[in-house]
Amino acid sequence: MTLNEKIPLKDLQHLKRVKRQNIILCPISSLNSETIQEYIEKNVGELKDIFDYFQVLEVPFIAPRVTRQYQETKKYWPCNFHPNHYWEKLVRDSFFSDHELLIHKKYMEVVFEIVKWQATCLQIKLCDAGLQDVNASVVVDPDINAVVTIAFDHRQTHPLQHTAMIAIDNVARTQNGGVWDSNISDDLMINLKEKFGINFGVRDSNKNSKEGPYLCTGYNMYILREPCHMCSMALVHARTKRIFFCIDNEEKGALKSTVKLQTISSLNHHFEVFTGFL
Amino acid sequence: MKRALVLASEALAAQEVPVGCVFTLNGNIVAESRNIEPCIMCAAALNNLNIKEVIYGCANDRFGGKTVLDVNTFYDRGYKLTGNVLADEAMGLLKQFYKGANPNAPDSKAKKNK
Repeated sequence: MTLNEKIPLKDLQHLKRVKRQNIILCPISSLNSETIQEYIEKNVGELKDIFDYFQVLEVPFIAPRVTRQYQETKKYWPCNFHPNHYWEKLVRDSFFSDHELLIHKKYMEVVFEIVKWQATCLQIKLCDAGLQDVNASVVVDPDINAVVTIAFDHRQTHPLQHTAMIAIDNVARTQNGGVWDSNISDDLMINLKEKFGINFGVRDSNKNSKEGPYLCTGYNMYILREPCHMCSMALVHARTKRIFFCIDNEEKGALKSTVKLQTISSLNHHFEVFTGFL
Repeated sequence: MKRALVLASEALAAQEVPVGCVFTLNGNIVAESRNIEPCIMCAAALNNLNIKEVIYGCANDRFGGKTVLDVNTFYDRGYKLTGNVLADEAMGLLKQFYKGANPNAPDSKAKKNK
């Protein structure tokens, strides 16, 4: 008790203070060139004579979030842990049902089809070297299983018109907003409808009310390559529900490769990110 | 920066987030707009545009493209960045705006249940 008051563990609250006859005193970073005995005499004088010996031990630095991590941390030091059922489900392979997986794969196939279309339009060869120049995305309203919009990259002609930015602008246009006049080819839409049996459309909503779709709330985005920082943050602003991507963007990707934007707690929206299609 | 603050005041009068922005070339204003925050998205967008230098008013500790996530570190070239220029004036405008609720956002769940 005295110890928790006089030497609180601060950022290490997930650690249990006591393990059998051992007790955590402080992180070694707290000692400024003094010995542990001196540190105790300075901070908790009343305990200066009760310890048999001191040792430096490695303990888990970060709190375990799921059982698998908890089992691992237990080997080093006991931690406080309360399993979260949703997270447990997320890290198991059975998060999506077989039926849901088929839907996700289908929409990713739609993305591939759009990429092929883009490559033909922009006369890009789809070998590995040309892959940097293509990217496409599909925005889906999962509640009605319909495609809200599709888009592909125009970064060669406009440095900000990455596919995700165009897709978000297209969604805004379904809500009487949007600033770019990117038109989706009718031929491409007909081709996608016939080949994949998908529906295009948005939920019915009363245009005079604030109910109904707001930005990308509740929508999923399927995108070929991991979005960059600009696009990922735009997807945060747009309140996208889930992002599915296929190929890592090792240099500029902001959802896995260089940083995980979805884990930054100060942001006001956090989407879920899934990958591993290949 | 003073011109940016004037634009921000205009945005406030139009019930938008009071953030102004000017692009300059050789000391002359070549473009100006309002309601652009130097958030993570904008900071990356400015990199995609190969901009030379960015000067901003006050830090944005919720979304800032420097404060929350230093976007420049992910780009080879990057740009020169200076913050806290006329920061108090900028913060004053933002405080005025956030006294009222964002008129474009849907009602929050908490509000609806009342």
